[in-house]
Amino acid sequence: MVYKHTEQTRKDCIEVLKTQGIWWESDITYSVIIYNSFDESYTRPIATGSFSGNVIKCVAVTPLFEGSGLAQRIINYLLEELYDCGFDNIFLFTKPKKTRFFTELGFHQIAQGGDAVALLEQNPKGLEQFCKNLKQYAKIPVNDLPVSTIIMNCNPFTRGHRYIIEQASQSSSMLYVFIVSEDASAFSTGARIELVRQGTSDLENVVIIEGGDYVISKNTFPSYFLKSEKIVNRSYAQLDATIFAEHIAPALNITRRFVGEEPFCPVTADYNNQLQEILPRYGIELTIIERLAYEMRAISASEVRRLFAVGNFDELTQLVPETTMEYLKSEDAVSVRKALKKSLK
Amino acid sequence: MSERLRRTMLYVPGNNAGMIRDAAIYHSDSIMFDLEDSVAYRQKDAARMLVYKNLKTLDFEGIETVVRINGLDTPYGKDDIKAMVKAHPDIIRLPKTETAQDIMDVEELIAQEEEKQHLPLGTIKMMAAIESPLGIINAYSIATASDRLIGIAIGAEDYVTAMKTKRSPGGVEILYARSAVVTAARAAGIGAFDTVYSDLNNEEGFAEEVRLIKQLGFDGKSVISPRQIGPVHEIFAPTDKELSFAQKVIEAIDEAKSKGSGVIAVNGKMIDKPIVERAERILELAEASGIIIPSEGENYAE
Amino acid sequence: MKIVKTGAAGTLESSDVMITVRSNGSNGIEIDLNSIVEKQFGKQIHAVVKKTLADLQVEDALIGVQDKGALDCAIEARLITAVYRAAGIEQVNWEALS
Repeated sequence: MVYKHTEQTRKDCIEVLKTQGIWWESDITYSVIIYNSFDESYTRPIATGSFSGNVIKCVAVTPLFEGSGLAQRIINYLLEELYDCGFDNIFLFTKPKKTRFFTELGFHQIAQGGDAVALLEQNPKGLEQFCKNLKQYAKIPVNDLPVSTIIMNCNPFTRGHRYIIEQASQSSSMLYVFIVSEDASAFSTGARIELVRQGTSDLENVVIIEGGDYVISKNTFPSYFLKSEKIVNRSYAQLDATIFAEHIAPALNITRRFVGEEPFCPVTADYNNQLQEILPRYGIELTIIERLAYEMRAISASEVRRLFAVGNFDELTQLVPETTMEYLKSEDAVSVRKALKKSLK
Repeated sequence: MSERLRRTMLYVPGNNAGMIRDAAIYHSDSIMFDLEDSVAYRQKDAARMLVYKNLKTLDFEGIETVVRINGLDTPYGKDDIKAMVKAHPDIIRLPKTETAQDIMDVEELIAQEEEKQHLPLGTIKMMAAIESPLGIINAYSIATASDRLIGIAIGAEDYVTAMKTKRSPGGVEILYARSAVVTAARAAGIGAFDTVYSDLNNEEGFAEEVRLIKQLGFDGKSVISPRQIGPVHEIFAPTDKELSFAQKVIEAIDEAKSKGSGVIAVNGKMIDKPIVERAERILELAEASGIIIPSEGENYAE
Repeated sequence: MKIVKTGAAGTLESSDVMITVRSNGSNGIEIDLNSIVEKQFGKQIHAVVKKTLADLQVEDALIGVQDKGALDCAIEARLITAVYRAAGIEQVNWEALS
């Protein structure tokens, strides 16, 4: 039976998770809870598991019931529900020492990020098919400059993004721009990609690609089984860099990755440091591009969202390209603006 | 043998591959594969296919096979019948029967499928579970609604809820329903089967209940765990005294037949038809219970 | 039957099998088998899967098989259910089934 989460069911999940030192994640959309059947009032939760999008998370069994097959049953329920929802592939982040348990349930390891996290998928050929698909975007380089990439969210596409892409494209034979798929963003994945496409259509050696399941968004990266914020950020960077370097870059012969400079954000700075450590091992060079400033401040997408929400279109024209401006003024963007307004309050 | 023994009907959830596979090893008299309450809605297709393939493939060692289908008031009932007639268990069991019409509707569909499968009409037998006050009131008309019916069963859980009560150890709340089911079954000349006992840990309570339903006249009981099979068979096994008397009755009849004598007496008691029938039944039960019946002429302690 | 989405059936419990059926372009039948009895019965399981798919006229599919020691008839049952789910067809063709 599917019920909506109530205060109580959430508490029951958290109670089970706590016994294994795991945290609840707020983006969870569906959970399964198994209660001790000797207690007819259903007040003793003993196992739980959840998912958010196509990612299974927060699976735990209380110590007393470990090894009794409950975790398998939880995974079973979740897979059934996810396939029923129409997902083709299902992902799971876990500690590397636990991957064996999940590979025996039909998961396949994609990559490991440091010693804290591994990413697994259900589809035995998921990553392989993704990389095969990437090859359709590959173009023959027109000169000897490196084939490069940049991974962005563009929520939404600003003059700052345009500047970085332009700079990167000038020193590359080809530039593949991956837009992170993530519908938790204010602007939908489809809309974000379209705006980047429109705003860079004059750049001949730029190809825009949807990131899909294998370009992991920081926002959806689960942290429930990791001990500290620092380990979360580091693990995310390591996993992201490893998948990119081992699978995505070779598919498109990429040898250089650009990132935007982030002088005031220690998290991003740390992320860039991780990339700097990992990518060269795979023969990929990391290049940091200074951000474009407007009136002494770097243009940020969050500032653009704020101005859009409050309806300050005059200032917006300074920060976003015309193509984005057109979209912001269109019918399509009305609901986005409403949602943004709501979240500002 | 006059009538098949059905002391225990082992309940097996239809989507549980392991339990289906092992169902025959516990030697219950019947196995009931369930497509109804034990199967979640979204697994109805999976359970139906699993039971179908297992029935088609596995050898249940001569144990009677029963499939509990979903009612025709659900989206699954029709497909269940279609698949199960092809899978060919001995019996199709209808849940939540309330009227004779319920039986006739299922019967009609079974007959259609039998024709498609080129099976002789009436091959698949039926059983009906009565689980509501209305069903209890209609017990006799249900029991006589089809020649395919080999028995009716009482399902107590839904019944007590509808009666605005709940089950108690002594079962006084279902005494009327039990009696009504046995009486209707006997009047119709078919079997009567009791409901499940769900507290697996209460062995004494279970034995109590089995003794009660045996005394009421039931032929057997649905069991939800292999652990419950032994105790039922034990309680249904005839005592030494019953056995010895039955043996003598049969011997006396054989003797009377060979002598051409019309009047039969055992231990100074006149023997009439019901006593002979009961004696035959006891010997069958004894055999099924694994009691060795000494050959003719051996002495019994009285 | 044509596979139009991912369909799964079965469980990860002992004596059962969980089967996932995915579309596979026009790359024929590919089987990803993971079984607790792979050494003894791997070939047999492959054969059962291929035969069942042939009977259902499935030409292209990527089949994931997580076997927990299921009997052949359980493997067949789970595979048929998963194929029907992956083909988006609710009404089983019982007449054609063996």
